[in-house]
Amino acid sequence: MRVSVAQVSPKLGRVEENIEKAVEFVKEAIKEKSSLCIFPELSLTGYTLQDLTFEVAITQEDERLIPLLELSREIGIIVGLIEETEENLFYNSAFYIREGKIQHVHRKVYLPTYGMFDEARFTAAGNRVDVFSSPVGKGSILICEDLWHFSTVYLAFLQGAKHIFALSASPGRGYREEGMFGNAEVWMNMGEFYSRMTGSYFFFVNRVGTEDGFVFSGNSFVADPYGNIIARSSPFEEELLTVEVEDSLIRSARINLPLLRDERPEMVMNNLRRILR
Amino acid sequence: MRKRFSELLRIKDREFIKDVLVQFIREEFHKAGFKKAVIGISGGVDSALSAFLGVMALGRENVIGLSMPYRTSSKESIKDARLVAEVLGIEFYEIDITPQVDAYYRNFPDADNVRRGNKMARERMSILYDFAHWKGALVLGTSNKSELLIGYSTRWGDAAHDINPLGDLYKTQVWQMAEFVGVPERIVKKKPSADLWPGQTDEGEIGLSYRLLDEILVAYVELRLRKEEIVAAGYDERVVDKVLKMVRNSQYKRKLPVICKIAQRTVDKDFLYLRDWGL
Repeated sequence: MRVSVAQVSPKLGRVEENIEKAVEFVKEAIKEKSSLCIFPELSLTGYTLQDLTFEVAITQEDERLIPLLELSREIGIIVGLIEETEENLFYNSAFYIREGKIQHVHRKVYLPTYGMFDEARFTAAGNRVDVFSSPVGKGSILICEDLWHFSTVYLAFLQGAKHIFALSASPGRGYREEGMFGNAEVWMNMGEFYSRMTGSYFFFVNRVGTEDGFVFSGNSFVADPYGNIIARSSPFEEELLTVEVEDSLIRSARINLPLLRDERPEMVMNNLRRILR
Repeated sequence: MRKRFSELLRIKDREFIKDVLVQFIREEFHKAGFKKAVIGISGGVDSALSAFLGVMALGRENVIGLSMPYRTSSKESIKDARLVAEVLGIEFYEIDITPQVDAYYRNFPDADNVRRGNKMARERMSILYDFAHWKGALVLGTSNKSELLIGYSTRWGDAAHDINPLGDLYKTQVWQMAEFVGVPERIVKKKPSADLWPGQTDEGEIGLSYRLLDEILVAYVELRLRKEEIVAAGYDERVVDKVLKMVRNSQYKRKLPVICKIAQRTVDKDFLYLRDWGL
């Protein structure tokens, strides 16, 4: 089974154009015989939306999604966007689309609101970490800051995720590393660590391009269940990265390191109760 | 701690940071629909680095250099500006701003150096924007992070431009990058000067060396240390005070004019869109 990671450079606030671009990448992924094509956080809208949040929001019924819904009969698609709910709440969401329908939605749980980030000013926070049945097996979508809180990965792990889809729009910063921004290196460390600790594939899908001098740090990658980075995109270019994923390798990793078997969620629960009392 | 500050100023992978800056210039220009840049070349290291990066991003046929000396400008500055243009092989103009500046001050013969210096910086800005319109270009900036933070620039003068590749590089980092991209050594090594009047040097006017200034700035800005913590790291309290005061007192230079709020949404307050809106 193959998975494609689409490292794109969305235009800020241009939903139609970004959907057109996504369609091109999905078609390419289909050509490469992928079962799933993953796009970065807010890939249909651009990242630093601020007041544009309310102008680019999409409901689950939005007709502009039709080209993607149609392609989803041939391939699973994960895209990032601003979702508007019936209650007029706005979420930084990811839709998993398959068989012409939105099958699963993840709403970003942790909204960074510090330093250069101001997300909670504009979007509501999700409150669920879920798994869903992806074409390559059980998976969980997490969005950027979600991953900086290991509770989210833990919840995905406990629910049996074998694939972690980490969608990001990470602005480059830090000039103390070799060949990449500091944040890109942290993401790689995170991917190596999480994939090994969960015996799962970890797909880091980041964007490229610039927004008012934020240079998004690219370097999308895939880590295997043994914690090895098996493929990586470039720092600046739009690219489609396609990898072969093997269920047998997840099995192998989980036999050699049976962390899921030995996990004790009740102990965690009891401690949480005690701590929160 | 003090060693940590100077270490923090070292750019480890200069090739990568060069790539980032080149990518930034190229993307911001191209997506705004421009392929040409005009840049004021003074003969100093900042504008030389900016011009080098501009050429790497846009190609030498798309960068227009302007040297705009005044009659008191040092011969060395004029020569070094020519050198930058020669090394890069870019379209280059030398425009003497003496007539327009002197014509104005004939009305105010007693005007002091700062007044005249500011006027020169704004004349240069006005010429750069005239060229930008003529050539269908954007103005590439040359203000580094140290000068932005202490306000060592002329408001609407050298501080005015469209795209600034140097604004997040401290002066000591500009030196590192300039050396790396191949700015002629004599330009990298010479004493920094705004050259607004004879004998002026930046460090003389600011009252401390760029190395010392950058260490204090990096401690305050990047590490968010408090004044007492910076002093405890081994700096003279008076110097730290002076630097922090320069930062505080120049905040207005880093901002657009303040608007009085009357309505629900106000352009400078809660009308929040990036400049790259739709790009």
